[in-house]
Amino acid sequence: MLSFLPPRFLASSYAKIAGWTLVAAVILFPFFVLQAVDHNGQLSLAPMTYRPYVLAVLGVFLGLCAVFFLPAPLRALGQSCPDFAVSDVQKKGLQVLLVVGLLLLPLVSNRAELDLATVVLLSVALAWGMTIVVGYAGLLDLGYIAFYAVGAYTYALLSTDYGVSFWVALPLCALLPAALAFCVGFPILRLRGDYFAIVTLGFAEIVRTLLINAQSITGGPNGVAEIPRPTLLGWGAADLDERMMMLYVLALAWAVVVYFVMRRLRVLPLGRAWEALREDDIAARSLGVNVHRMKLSAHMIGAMIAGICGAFFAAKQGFVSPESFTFLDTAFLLAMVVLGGMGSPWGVALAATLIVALPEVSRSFADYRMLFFGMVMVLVMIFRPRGFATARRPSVVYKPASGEKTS
Amino acid sequence: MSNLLTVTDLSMAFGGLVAVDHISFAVKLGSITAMIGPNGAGKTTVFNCVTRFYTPTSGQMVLTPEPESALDLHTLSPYKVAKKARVLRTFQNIRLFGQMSVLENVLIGQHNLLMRASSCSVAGLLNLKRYRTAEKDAMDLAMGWLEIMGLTEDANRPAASLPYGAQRRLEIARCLAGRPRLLCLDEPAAGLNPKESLDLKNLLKTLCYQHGITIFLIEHDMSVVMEISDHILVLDYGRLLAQGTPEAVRTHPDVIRAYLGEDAA
Ligand SMILES: Nc1ncnc2c1ncn2[C@@H]1O[C@H](COP(=O)(O)OP(=O)(O)OP(=O)(O)O)[C@@H](O)[C@H]1O
Ligand SMILES: [Mg+2]
Repeated sequence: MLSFLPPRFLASSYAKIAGWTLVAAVILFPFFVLQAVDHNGQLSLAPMTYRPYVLAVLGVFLGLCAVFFLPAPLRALGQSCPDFAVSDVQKKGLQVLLVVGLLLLPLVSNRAELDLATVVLLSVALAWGMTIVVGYAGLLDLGYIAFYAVGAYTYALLSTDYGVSFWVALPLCALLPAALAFCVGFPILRLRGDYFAIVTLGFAEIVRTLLINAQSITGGPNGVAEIPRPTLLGWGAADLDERMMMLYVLALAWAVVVYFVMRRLRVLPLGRAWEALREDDIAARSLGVNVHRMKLSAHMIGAMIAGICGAFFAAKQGFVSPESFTFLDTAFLLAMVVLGGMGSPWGVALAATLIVALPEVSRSFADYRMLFFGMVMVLVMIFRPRGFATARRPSVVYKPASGEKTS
Repeated sequence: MSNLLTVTDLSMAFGGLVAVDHISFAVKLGSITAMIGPNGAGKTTVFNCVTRFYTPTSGQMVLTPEPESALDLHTLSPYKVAKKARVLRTFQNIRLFGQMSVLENVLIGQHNLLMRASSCSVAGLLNLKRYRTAEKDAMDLAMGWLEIMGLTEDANRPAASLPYGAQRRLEIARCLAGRPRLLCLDEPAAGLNPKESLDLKNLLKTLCYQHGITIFLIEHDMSVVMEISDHILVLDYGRLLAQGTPEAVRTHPDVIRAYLGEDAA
């Protein structure tokens, strides 16, 4: 196709950089620039936001330049970058340190910092939920954010319209997304993986458009405001500080719950079956694994976690609008899961923290977030193609000397 | 000996191509039955029909594990063929869960049993004693088969990192953990060296005559087929050319013609 160009140019780094930048530009175009928008009640595909798109492509370009023009020694350094191999003792130590740090945080931080910490914790929990779907079961869910949206709106509408309290609404915020996940997943998960990605992408867009257009119920583009804040046995209503403290504690508790559930599920037959069907679903089926049901369960459990995260998000913000649930948010979540190393909770938590916290720490950074993003994605794909944490730990370990033991 | 698997008038057509053409045969309980034939004869397609990965164009397939109970394989979906009928298979191109450890691979073979023991994860999440015992038993069973396959040392390695011969053995061990009534092996000796091939022969005999597992295998390696099988089916262009004992098949004129060409007959 490009044979009219001189072969020396085609083989050069310039051609490769130009080529891959072009590929990125084409692939990213529909996601960033074409978005369904509301024109006086009529829905149309309209170019929306060029700036993040241009920045992301520029980031990819810079990342590629860095890869191709990096001096050889630096490049070798990047490639041989060691695994974050920590021993079990070190790991226990780090975990204890982290938990103590998280518990002490409210005592030493101001309101803004505490608020950011709450957002980070919720994002980490959400990314962990997506890890179950994408990392464990290998289902490319491009509409994960929709379940988050449904959870958030469920609490928002139940509390503002019907005065339902947070704790009563919470189970519904899990069940409704799970039911939706069932309805979407049941027919689609029988088909090949690509269809699932496309259908979930469309599903999320439908949910977002519904939220915008069902004005009488959802408040349309204006969203729902003045969502009541939850209280915990009467605690958290006194003043702003107490409320923020309580929201932080709730988010922390929820993240811990998600962590333990996902860790535990992974070593159970269910989690092993998820990984097995990710590796080879035909072999899994030949061994009696009900592949369809296993996929559906991963999809629904992921949706439940997202729904509850959404409820916490609505409760924390006191305000929800369709703007918080775009494809870009799914893309960021996906980036956390992939950058973290598929299926590694700590890798994902690290990636989520970086992606959420960095733009907040520095405003000027936030403006160039997409630039940075495109660049990092390229560098990680080249130097650490399997994410921050690459080593997979088996769910059970055979210990010959002292008999067998479950890890 | 009674028939474990009875296949009557089985056909499978892909569009115009008839890969399996009205064949009937039986696999006897507690025996080793082999299926041979040139490339593209339709052997793997027969396996795919029996394990219900394909829905045959016509024909009946009945599994009779006990005289009074018969399972119509036609009515089962692929995973149920493994779960209910316990017909387990290996693949011509090995299909392992590459990133998972050897032991995990074998535990997937006991998926349904463990799922039930963990009450669909509820008992498992709560780490009840009932689940812990079941998991321990499953590990013991898995390690038992891995020992027979000579894979004890490799239990914690990722399956994809094993050498080729060991991968073949792991694929069999994974099936064995599912307590198969009928074990279908698609070219288990393909790619093995002579020593491994010999070990395989002994292994299959042990499985059949000591563990009482009925074996149905596809194989190109004649030394394996002729030595261990009780019964041989010869397929050619989707048709059953001949069947019988190794002796009968070896001297069958049609088989000689198909394998050695027209002139030899
Ligand atoms: N899914 C399919 N779609 C279309 N044609 C198929 C399909 N599966 C098999 N075939 C065709 O059916 C015929 C028999 O194939 P099969 O794989 O059963 O042969 P085989 O006896 O196992 O050969 P080999 O010794 O090479 O493994 C071949 O011509 C093949 O191309
Ligand atoms: Mg074949």
